[in-house]
Amino acid sequence: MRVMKALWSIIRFTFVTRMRSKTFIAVSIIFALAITVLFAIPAVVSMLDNGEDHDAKTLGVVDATPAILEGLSRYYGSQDDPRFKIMEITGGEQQAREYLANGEIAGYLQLYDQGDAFPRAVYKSRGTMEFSTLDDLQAALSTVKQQLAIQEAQLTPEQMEKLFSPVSLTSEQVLLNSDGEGKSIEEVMMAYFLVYIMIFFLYMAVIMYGQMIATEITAEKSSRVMEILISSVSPIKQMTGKLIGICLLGLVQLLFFVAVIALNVTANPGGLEMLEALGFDLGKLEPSLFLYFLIFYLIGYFTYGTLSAAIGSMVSRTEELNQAITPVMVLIIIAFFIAFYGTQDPNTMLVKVTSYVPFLAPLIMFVRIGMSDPAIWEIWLSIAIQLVAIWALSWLSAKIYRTGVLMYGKRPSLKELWKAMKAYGI
Amino acid sequence: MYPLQVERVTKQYGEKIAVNSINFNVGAGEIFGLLGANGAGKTTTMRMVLGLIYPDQGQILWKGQGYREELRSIMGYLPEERGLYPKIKVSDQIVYLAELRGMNRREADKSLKEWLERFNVSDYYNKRVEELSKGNQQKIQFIAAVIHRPEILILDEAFSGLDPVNVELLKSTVMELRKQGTSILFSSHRMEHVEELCENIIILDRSNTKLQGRLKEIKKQFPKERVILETEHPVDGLERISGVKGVRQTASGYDIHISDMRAASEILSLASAQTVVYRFQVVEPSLNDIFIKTVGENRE
Repeated sequence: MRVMKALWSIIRFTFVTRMRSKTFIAVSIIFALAITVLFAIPAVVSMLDNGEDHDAKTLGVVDATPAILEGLSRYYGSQDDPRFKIMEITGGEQQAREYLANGEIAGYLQLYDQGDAFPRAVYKSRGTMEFSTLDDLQAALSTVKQQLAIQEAQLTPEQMEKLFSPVSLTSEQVLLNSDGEGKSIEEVMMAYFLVYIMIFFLYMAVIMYGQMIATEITAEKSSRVMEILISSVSPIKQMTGKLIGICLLGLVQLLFFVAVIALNVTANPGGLEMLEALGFDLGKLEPSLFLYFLIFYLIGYFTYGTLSAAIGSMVSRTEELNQAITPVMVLIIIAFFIAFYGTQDPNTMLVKVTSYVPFLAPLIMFVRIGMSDPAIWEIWLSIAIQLVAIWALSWLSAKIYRTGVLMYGKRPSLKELWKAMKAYGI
Repeated sequence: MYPLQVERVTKQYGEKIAVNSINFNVGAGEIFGLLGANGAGKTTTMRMVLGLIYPDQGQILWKGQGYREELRSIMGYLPEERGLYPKIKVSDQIVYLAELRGMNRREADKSLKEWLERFNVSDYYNKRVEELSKGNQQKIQFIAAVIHRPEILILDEAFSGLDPVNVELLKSTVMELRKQGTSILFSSHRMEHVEELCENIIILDRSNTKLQGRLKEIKKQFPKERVILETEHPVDGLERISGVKGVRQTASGYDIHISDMRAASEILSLASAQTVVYRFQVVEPSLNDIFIKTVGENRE
């Protein structure tokens, strides 16, 4: 009873004091503003867009047959916002170069007669890397070519219909481990979306809250409150209380951000459009993905949190903390990169193996769940491994913590720490 | 049965012996003086008494039994280095620390208000610790150590940083706690405080117990070697009396170091022959003298 009471006191104190701290409030507000700005961008961009019209550039055409010339003019003439105005150049390439020099045309199309076949075309301009222009011209010329061919063949309307009806093509993923249907493209898009958010969020959370835990412990040590704390409550309880307190704080912050996003989506007309443009559709989301999100978020938080706590306990001054915590940051960065790679190709051996490895698994197993179809036993095996790892890690961290908080002065090496552990009889 | 029994306890850090076979008891309603130079093993002893580290040999008994979870709520600790959260309000952190010691919030809050009033600092309730002066932080620290009415209290340099008025205030509080039956382990470098408060003491020097027992008995073992003399006019020839080892002139008279009690009476007769004597006193050695003699004799 008293045990639970003390734990609850620690959780409460950690949560409340952190919640009230200026840094926490400032960070929350800055992120909320950033989210709002992000949602406002499409609206702002479209406002700016309406202000100016794209003027069609002039495209010179050299050595074209009248039919092709007319076809091109008709093609661009029928567009709402055509890229080009067509201008026939009768004076050959020499004249085209002159027009180009004095800016009358943006570029010109030189056609070479190929006998019966459609002429070969070369687009010449002063620019380089005009891939989109080339794509555009390719489409224009193909259309013209098709139309000419159809005119020649004198097709019936039914034949035309047959020729031009669109081909149906979508993609679906093959699941090897279950009988269910594969993920549709929308579901994959949705999972992509969530997985990206998850990776990003877990990455941020580990860095932010891990740092917070370590800083808090080091600060307690350097202000010497620690001596009173450890004589009042057992170190493991202290560590657990702190981890849970900051975990709750993180969840509250997450909820806050979700609320800010929801508010933006509803209040901002551009917001919903942007989400739709990104392929975000809540209906396409599997609820289990949310559950796994939460499970792996918590696993990731506690794995990195206990380690951060142990490191925080070894450092006497906050100034030294950044250096000491670097290895933890490197771990999460490695996990981050493998996970990122995994979103592109979730079935490689590297991704499969690392989805069981403590520290890496929270990000990578989630990527596999979202992007591929690991068997249920694989998921739960990974979760079980993570739980065992957290248990072992908190056991070790508690020992380090107990020893570390009593050691002042320079940061102990592992060997010194081991000696001290033995000496303190821990 | 003593509330706190430390029985031939030894603690080693690697090769180095930090505390060598220390042995003492603290009774209910007793203030026990734990003295020693820096690095003598006091901190290690206190940490073992707090249950933070375990002895290698010997044992510590709290109310007759070994270490147990319950002890955390019956022990109070005032560390030498001040330990409070600088940026957190006094009320928040003291209530928190009291909660950790097993009090409930309402009780703790009420008790804190009483203590603040008693120390004439009621308006600090809502202040952050970093806003307070060092002496006032010390009062808050003291409250943190005693708010849960501990049965065993460990005070490490309890009066440091306080002005004389506040020293008296805290001293009387400590004596009151003693009257209520608290067992207090008191460590300080201020020998006059120890002399005033402690009946029994132990002096550690480089891990070993140098001196131990009732303060009165200890004092008797040390010869009276000082004479204080105050006269109307200066006195000549004090140094020439046999048995006088040194004469120091003070603002009001002389502080004379003697090796033999017979020299004392000669000092008096010499002085009264020359001028009017206002004050003549053969003083027993102060604990300060005893400490320096005990700990300092094999130092260079």
